[in-house]
Amino acid sequence: MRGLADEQGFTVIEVLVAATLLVVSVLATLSLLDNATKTTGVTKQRDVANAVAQEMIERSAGGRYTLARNDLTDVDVASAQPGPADRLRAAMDPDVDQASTAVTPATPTSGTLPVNVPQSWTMQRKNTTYTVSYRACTSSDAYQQVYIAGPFDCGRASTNPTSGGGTTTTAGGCGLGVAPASNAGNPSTLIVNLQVLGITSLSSCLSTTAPLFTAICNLLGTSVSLSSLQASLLGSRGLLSNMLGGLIGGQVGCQNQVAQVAAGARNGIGTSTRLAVTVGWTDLQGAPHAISQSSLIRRGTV
Amino acid sequence: MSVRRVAADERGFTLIEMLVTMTLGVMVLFAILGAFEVFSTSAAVTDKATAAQDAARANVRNLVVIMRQGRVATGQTTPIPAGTPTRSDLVVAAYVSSATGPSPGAVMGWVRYCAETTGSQSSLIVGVRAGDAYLAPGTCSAGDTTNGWSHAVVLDGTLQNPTRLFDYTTSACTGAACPLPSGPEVQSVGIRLAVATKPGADETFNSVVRDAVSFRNRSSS
Repeated sequence: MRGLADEQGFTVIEVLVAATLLVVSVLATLSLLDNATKTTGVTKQRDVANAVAQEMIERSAGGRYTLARNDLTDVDVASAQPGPADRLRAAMDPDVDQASTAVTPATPTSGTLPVNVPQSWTMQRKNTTYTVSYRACTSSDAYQQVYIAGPFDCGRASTNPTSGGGTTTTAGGCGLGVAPASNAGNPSTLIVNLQVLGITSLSSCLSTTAPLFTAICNLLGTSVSLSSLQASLLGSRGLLSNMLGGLIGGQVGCQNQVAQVAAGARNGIGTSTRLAVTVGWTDLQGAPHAISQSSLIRRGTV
Repeated sequence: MSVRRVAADERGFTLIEMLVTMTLGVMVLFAILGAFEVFSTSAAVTDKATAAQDAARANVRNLVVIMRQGRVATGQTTPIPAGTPTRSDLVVAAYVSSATGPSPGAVMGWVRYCAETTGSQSSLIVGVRAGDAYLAPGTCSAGDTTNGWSHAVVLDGTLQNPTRLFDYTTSACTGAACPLPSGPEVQSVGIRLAVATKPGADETFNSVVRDAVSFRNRSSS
């Protein structure tokens, strides 16, 4: 009994201090665990986003191989026909079981280089909604001073938000522009600019040559002095002088020359498409995140 | 005397104290054993899930490498032979390993990835055939040797959604709603390899590995 009486125990102050220290340490540990869990969650989402971007780039590289055209931009936004962006979206969600939304094309920006048209849609992966957007522009090789010029070329400003830069006609059609390349005052630097105004129509422009024939021949006309035009533009060498040389022989000659150009452009001009993919998402705490990947997709006939 | 008195003061624990202490000790011991059991089960499930996911990733990676190195065989126009690939069966012309070839992995041949479903379980099968000429393989089954093909199981019973293993991109159409293209029309192949526990297993896990491959050596079209 005396022994028990000697046991004085802890004071209230001691107990309170100890309990406070314990609570503080427990709360610190829980906060650490919570932060670790959040970081792990965001890291998993980032992994999925990177996988989505990589898959997007890979599928984009699966576009048309030999026809030199920009396969990634959806210029024909007003058309009911699904464009390249729609096809990409469908490829990323082939079974439509991840609740992807429609492609939202943006208006091309006039006067900026390069002319990129961001397009986006949303899709679900592992209970997270990802916004996939991409921008693309294409650079063309030169073949006998001819290059493919589409509405979304990397090195050319757009002057028309609908149908692209340079000499334009109706979107979806074909046109021919004669533009100075680097020195406007020197006729020898003039190049023939095959102004292809419709992504989806380029195939028909280059394979079914009649529309291109018509566009070129209408541009040159038959009433002008062809010899003087030839001399002032290119001299003895170059594509346009050869073309005009054939044209002197009549309309049939023009078509033959244009046919050669069209065939050469189709079979000889390679393109490189610069592609930038951005995948964004919002984590469970509402914070936005995004990752980006870019790639150069080469298409050619080498 | 003093030693005897000290010994007499050592009264030890009472029976009640011992019983209470032992009961508490046993409870703590059982709690620890229970937690250990939970951790062990969780670790086993995690190991199986990780192994299955690793196997899925390895197979997808292998398939991607094979298709990236896909060749155009004699008489063909693309790495995928003429005919209609399905969403669970794909044949690609590639370079395969052969002990009789000039060097391992450098022999012209064909590789097939397909799904075999038996009852409620599906397995991923890989078929290989050396030789440039395309000879159609037989059934998608381990041990099938039709036309010189050899088949082996690489994912045994853990394959999910075998009819959604592949999807194909063409110029004309993309997505599951499109009709299956012929081989030469395929421009890129999407891979969706889903793995999960076998039906009836105590533990559960599932994982999906995706990838896509574009054929960059398609002939002019």
